[in-house]
Amino acid sequence: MARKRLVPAAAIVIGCVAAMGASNGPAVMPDWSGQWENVGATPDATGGFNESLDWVLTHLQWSPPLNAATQAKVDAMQAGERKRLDAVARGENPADAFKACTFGYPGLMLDTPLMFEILPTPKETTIIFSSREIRHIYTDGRPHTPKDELWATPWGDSIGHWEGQTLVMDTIAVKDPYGPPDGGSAVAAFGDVEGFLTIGVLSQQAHFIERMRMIDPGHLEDQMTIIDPANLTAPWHMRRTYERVQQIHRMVYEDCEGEDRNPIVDGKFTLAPPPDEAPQPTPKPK
Amino acid sequence: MTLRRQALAILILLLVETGAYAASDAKERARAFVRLPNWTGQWEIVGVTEDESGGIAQSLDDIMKGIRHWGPPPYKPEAQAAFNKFAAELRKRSQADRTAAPPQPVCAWGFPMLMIQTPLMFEILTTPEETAMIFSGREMRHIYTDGRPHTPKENLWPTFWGDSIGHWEGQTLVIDTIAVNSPPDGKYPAVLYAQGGSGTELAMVAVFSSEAQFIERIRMIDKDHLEEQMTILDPVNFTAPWHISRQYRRVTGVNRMIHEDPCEGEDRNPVVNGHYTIAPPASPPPPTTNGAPSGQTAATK
Repeated sequence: MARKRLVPAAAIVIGCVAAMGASNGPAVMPDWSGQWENVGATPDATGGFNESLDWVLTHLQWSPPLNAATQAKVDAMQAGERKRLDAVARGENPADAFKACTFGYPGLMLDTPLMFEILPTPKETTIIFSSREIRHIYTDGRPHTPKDELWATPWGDSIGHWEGQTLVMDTIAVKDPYGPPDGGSAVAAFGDVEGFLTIGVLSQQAHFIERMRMIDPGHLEDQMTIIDPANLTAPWHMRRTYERVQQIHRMVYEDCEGEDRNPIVDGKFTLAPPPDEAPQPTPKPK
Repeated sequence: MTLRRQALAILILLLVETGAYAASDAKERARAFVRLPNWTGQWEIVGVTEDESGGIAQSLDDIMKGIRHWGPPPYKPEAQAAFNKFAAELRKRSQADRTAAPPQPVCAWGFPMLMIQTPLMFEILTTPEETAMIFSGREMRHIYTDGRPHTPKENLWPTFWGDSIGHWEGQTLVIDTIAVNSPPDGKYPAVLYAQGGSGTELAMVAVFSSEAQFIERIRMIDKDHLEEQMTILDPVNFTAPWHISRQYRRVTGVNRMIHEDPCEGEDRNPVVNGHYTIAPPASPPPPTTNGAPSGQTAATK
């Protein structure tokens, strides 16, 4: 009898341990230490991007399956943006620039020239960007925040779990810090110094699934799927890779108050002393 | 053995050795991870509680007593005179501010204020290579525990959070921080001031030189409390090391980080009955005029 009672007890213990393993991550957390940057979104010495907007549009994966109404909205936005690009190409200054302290999600993962660190721990993974933006992905088995305590933020509400050495993230409640006016978020492509083009507009109901893994010691891969029945006709898939930053081995924050201590020299992040002690970088010819 | 076989044998040996090294590296890292303490959750400083009006629940006197538990900073005479002048100026400005416009939002507290005198929630994530402290004001401390030395002088400059390295002594994290300056513009070395009551009652506690070095020992004293022992060495301003201790308690009622955006004014963690709570937006989001950031957004990164 005693033995029979022990069996279910052992099963419960084993079940609990297995459940903990499932929610708390793999037995060995992956080593993603170091600094990372988005492949295809490299800042240049002038403060813009190394890549041209055309290169970004053709070499990075976009192709949003927008429904007709959203496509019309994006077409209208792009028409205005292309006029602006033409004006910039003619050497005119549209004078509509503003300083952005926050990129927000999903832009942070798709097309920003920021360095970032990833700290995977059993119960939470954080992704910390040099713009002082942070994503918290809770992997302790919790569900999403209940509706009565949930509101949209530039980084959304993220939970996740580990499938082997792959981190699967699930993000909802995202709002673009600078629009669009009816809430939700926008996905934009950036290139050159002044170039950007809206690729897609997402509703506040958009649901983002990401699968992040290390594909070799110098590269991570993020496969993002966006589900948004209000604006998309099908799930939207995008793949991005991140490469290890070579010359910097610590996080140095850009300061919204105006200091940039990571100037780009020859296409690489570098470290610089305070601007009043350093020579100004020479603009790189395009 | 032919040359070809010898080459093959060497290649196999190399592969086996490389594989064995990688495997033992991974095993050692796994063991290091297991040894790390579990400090998950959200934390706040004991004795510095934001009240419902946006001020501090404790009086300035109580805050000062807590900070000076181990005595006032051991200033050298000339540093004491400079401090007295600085403190008097702050007192004067603080009194003038009470009748002036509301204070400007603080976009960064900086170190050591973050650990001693701020009502911010924070998380601590520990990995073998690094411990990160993430504060609700979107300030981060990175403590690299991978054995590296401080950043070499030619690549080092003062920042609000300093340059931190650390190591583990059992379950105690020992942190060594240098190169700290003060918000909002970094024109001054690190300072420590106290804020109490309505939040406009200010008192300068210490002014450090650019040579100041901060040694911290953080450990869990029970499942809901962490202890911080900070020793500040400042050969320019002090005659001896100065000690401050603090406790941090687990935040109850909130189980995730919600980042305040001090520069844009949102505070979604109002304090009710002395506890952090979660609130919906206080007002509708501001209207925007365009659908995406401008090109300059990219330019400013």
